[in-house]
Amino acid sequence: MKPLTPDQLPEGIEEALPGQARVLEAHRRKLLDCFESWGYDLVSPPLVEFRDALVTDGDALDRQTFRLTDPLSGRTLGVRTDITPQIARIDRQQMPKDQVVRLCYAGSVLRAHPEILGGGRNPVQVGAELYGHEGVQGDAEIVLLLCSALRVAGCAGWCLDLGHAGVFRALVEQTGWTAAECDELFELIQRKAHADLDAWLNARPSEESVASMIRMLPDLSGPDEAVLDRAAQELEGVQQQISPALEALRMVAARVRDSYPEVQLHFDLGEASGFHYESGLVFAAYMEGQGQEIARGGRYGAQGGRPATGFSLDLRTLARCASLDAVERRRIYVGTDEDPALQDAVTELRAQGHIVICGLGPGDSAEGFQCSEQLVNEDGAWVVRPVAS
Amino acid sequence: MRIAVSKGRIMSEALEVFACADIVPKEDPAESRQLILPCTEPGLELVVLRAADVPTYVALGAAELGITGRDVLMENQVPGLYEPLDLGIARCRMVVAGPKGGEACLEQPRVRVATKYVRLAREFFAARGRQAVTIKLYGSMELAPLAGLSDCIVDLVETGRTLAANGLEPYATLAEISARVVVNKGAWKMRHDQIMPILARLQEAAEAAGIDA
Repeated sequence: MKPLTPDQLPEGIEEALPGQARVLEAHRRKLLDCFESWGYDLVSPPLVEFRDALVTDGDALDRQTFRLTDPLSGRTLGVRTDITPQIARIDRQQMPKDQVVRLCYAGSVLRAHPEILGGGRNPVQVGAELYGHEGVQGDAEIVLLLCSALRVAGCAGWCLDLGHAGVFRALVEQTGWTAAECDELFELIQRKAHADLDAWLNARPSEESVASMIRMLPDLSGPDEAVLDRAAQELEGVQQQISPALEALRMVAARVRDSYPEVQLHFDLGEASGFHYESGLVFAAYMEGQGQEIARGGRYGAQGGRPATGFSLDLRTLARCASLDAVERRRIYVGTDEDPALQDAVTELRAQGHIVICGLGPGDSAEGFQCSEQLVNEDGAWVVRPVAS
Repeated sequence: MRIAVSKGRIMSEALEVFACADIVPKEDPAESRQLILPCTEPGLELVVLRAADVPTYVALGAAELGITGRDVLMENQVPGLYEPLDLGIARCRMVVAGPKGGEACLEQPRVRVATKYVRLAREFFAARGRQAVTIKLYGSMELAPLAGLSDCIVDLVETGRTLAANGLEPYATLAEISARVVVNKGAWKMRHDQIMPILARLQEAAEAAGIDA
């Protein structure tokens, strides 16, 4: 294999060039402004932390983490693969314990492997997190915030998928299965792999009523609340345990329908995101032509830690599927001239939000800098005129 | 709606199931040079791909549905797919096989395995606490132990006749394999009303075919 030249980027590492970077930045600002208008404070956690602080979820996260040794402390550092745990740490360490805390963030993360097929390894993760509120009002707020953010970004025709980890939890609590077994089962349900699910259940002694309810889970999915009615019927054996989950889904869906009628809804009770992480309502955003989700989130960590819910998305993916264009600004050229009045005119134009590019020498021209206008001196006054073509 | 189908045995058996489900390509895929084959039902089309490409197309949403072997799904572990339906067609077994009477090679500290299924072979031996040297091959696995390239192979067997004809025998079964329907996650959510009837038709057709067989 020919060696890579030093100028080439490593596989899966992406950058943004002029034009692209403007669009990304426009999105980033819009999103963060949107979060701020809902009371979410921006925080900016560091790129690296001690590995042990970053890798809290065991093996999967560990294999995704780039490591380096800190010459100062001699300890192993990890480059963040996900900002969410960092925000949780900030909440735990730095924020008042008895209050609701709203935080948001935007930053690069680095992963050993792309999370999706053909995806990049250095996505720009943007998200918002709500701590210290356990109720469904918090779930609703976070879901509505995502709706608001995607509306601001100009996403049209997207689908909000709602699920609830409480349903799967209620079912496995009926069994005596170990955590490892529950993980296996969870993975089968996430894939909706009926054949494997049957084989797995048949190989384990369990009450037939529970097994048959678990078999239903992957198919409790559909575009309206009829799914929830069906769930209440089909999962009658755990009706009491799952009824808060179904109520939460109903309530959040109703709020979304009221405020964001343009959003297509889908319910999927076979969806519980990462079972370890999430403990309540979970959701994801899908878009036609994208194949994979463009944003996801949910409630996690109620046991022990502070109740939390939030979501995150990859800015590059969002910019690809949203219609927000960076605002086009006027580009004005000015040749070399020492006139102090010219400097005032330039400062004034820039203050108005226009782009003013100064020529540096005789070879420069308005066309060379893609300027359609230029500053010219007419009778001692500097005025903007279209470039004669 | 686009359905990606694995070439070869899966394709020919799937076409029978499709026929029962009224999914009929306008042109015979075996004859046609078209890469995208429209079906008689408007809005439905087939694409015929190499087995390992089917999960890729479906995961990325280039096809909403796909038909591929469980072997391919297990080996590639592509995220972002649902596999809700096993059609029960193109049945076979994934086995470790080698020269007759040579089963002891599985207990060697370092086994040389020739296979198309590198991940699955490695996992199989790792689970037994053995280190396997996997040799990736693209065809004629049976030749590898005969030619001294490897101690054993991990491959699909249908009847076992090719193995027997070459003096080989299966040592252990890794998995029972058949063809599955895979569905793109986004399509499942956004086009649920279109996907579910097709799945139901395929399930009905597969069950009917299963009763015939």
